[in-house]
Amino acid sequence: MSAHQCPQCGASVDVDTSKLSATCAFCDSPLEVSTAEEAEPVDAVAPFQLTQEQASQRLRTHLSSQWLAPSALQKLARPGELNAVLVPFYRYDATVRTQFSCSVGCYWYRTETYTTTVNGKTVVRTRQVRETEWSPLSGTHGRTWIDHLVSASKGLPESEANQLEPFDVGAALPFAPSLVAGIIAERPTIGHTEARATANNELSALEKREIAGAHLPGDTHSGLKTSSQVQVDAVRLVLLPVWVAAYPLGKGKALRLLVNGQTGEVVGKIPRSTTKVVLLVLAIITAIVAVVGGFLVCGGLTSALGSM
Amino acid sequence: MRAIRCKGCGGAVAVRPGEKLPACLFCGSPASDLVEEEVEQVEQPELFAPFAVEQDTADTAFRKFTKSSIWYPSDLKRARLELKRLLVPAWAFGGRIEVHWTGLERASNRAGKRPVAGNETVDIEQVLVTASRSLRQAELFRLGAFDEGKLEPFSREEASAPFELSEMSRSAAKERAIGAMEDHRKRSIQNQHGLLLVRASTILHHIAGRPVLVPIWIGAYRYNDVVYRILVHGQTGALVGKAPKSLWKMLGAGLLALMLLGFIAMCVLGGGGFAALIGSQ
Repeated sequence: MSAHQCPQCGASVDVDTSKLSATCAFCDSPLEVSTAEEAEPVDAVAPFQLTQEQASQRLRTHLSSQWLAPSALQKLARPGELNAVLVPFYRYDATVRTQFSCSVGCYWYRTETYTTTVNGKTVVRTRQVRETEWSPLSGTHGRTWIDHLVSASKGLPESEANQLEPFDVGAALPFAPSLVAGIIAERPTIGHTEARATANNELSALEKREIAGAHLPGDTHSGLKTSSQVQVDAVRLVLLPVWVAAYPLGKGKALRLLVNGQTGEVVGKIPRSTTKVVLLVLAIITAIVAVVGGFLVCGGLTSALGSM
Repeated sequence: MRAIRCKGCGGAVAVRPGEKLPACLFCGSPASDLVEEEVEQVEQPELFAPFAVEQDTADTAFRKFTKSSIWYPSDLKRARLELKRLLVPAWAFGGRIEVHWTGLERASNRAGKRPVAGNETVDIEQVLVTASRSLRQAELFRLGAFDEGKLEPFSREEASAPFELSEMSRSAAKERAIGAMEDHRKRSIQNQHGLLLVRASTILHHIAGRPVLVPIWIGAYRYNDVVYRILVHGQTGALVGKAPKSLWKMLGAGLLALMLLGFIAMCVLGGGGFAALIGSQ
């Protein structure tokens, strides 16, 4: 095995020298051959549960639902275009305590009298009107989060990693060289400090969502402010399975589609074919012209007949 | 470990070497359905709660039970029931629980309630969760809690009764124990603060558990060739069980109700006829 740094996206990929790949699995750029410094030990590896054929089937189904995607993209879904990549993630177990403050609303009902007209007569009726009693509330929330994942790869931005999740980390096995033999395994290119900051932000956001959704009493709330303290209980480095299809778009850009190697979830921003968009716009304009033209002709005929 | 397993219900108990059972403790199947075999025990019990209820008290509880409903057949009192001792597997978990809660309390505002919040940290010495395979959770729940304060070291050789083999893993038991701890604290907070509603999030510290055994008297009896199971709590004497209902008694009651209805109908119609007679005069 030797490590290769991608000059384009920064990914550092362990490549089996017997299967030396000339391009980066993440962005299809040519690989820079360099030996990375002492690698951080990997705790666990989750094996692929989707075969290359199954992953390409998922990709085909996904692409066929994208009408405006360039037709050339269909070739990306050929099994041979998919690379198996073990992507590094930091897996956090953390205890989070959050202080919150907000206004909690409890509904109550007021009986209101109103007049209305029934059969030409004015009558007095009553109705129930919902009102809200607001009270300030400050309190705490706490829970333990197990197996929160943060991408450790510059090649896989956190936003895309979140779309690929969930991964079943319970299926991960303790690291053994045989688990990565013959598969491209990326080394972590995002350091602990940066990943920890991401974990802090994400866990704080999750806490806020949980407080809003499940912790606050009453019927409604507003102005929720939270402040979370994240205490990391354990952090482990795991390699998770992703099928990657990379396709150069020219000018240093590449299209990259990812398939979760466990669930088959497809992630990636699919470009629109300029030809297809132009054709669609033209078709819409033609349809509008045809409809308007039809109305005008019909209207002209009617008025001509009316004047007779 | 040598154990006796029932081919009928699958229930397995460990007995002292050479000890035989006349019938399955769980379903009453005869000895011919029992096989002795080598079994794997998930974890060896470390502690047990000794019997505080003796045979005669357990028998009295059953006699009292046979008279507890007017629908039970009159000859149920004469049913032959042999209650046997059985130690049921359970897990005793303890630890520290940090509860962050919110709730609604009564208030003299227009909504009639107001939000409140708080937190507490409590040390829970032990909660017991039963891990029986053959007895239903609902049965054991109705039997009531076991006093976890009375646990003693357990040795297989000196076991005072056959004990059921646990097939519940530590992690599954832990999950159930945590659920029990959280429910317990929520109820306690709700009562303590007089809340209309309580919501809680928890952080757990140093949760540890040990496999234990808790005592029950168990018996199966036959009535009209149907087997009924009775459980008596080995610490409190509480009884959980089923009994047949007398068909004759229920038919009799039905007839009586019909006659009563008929009588009322006659009174009403007869009275009506009488009134009509007066009216026509």
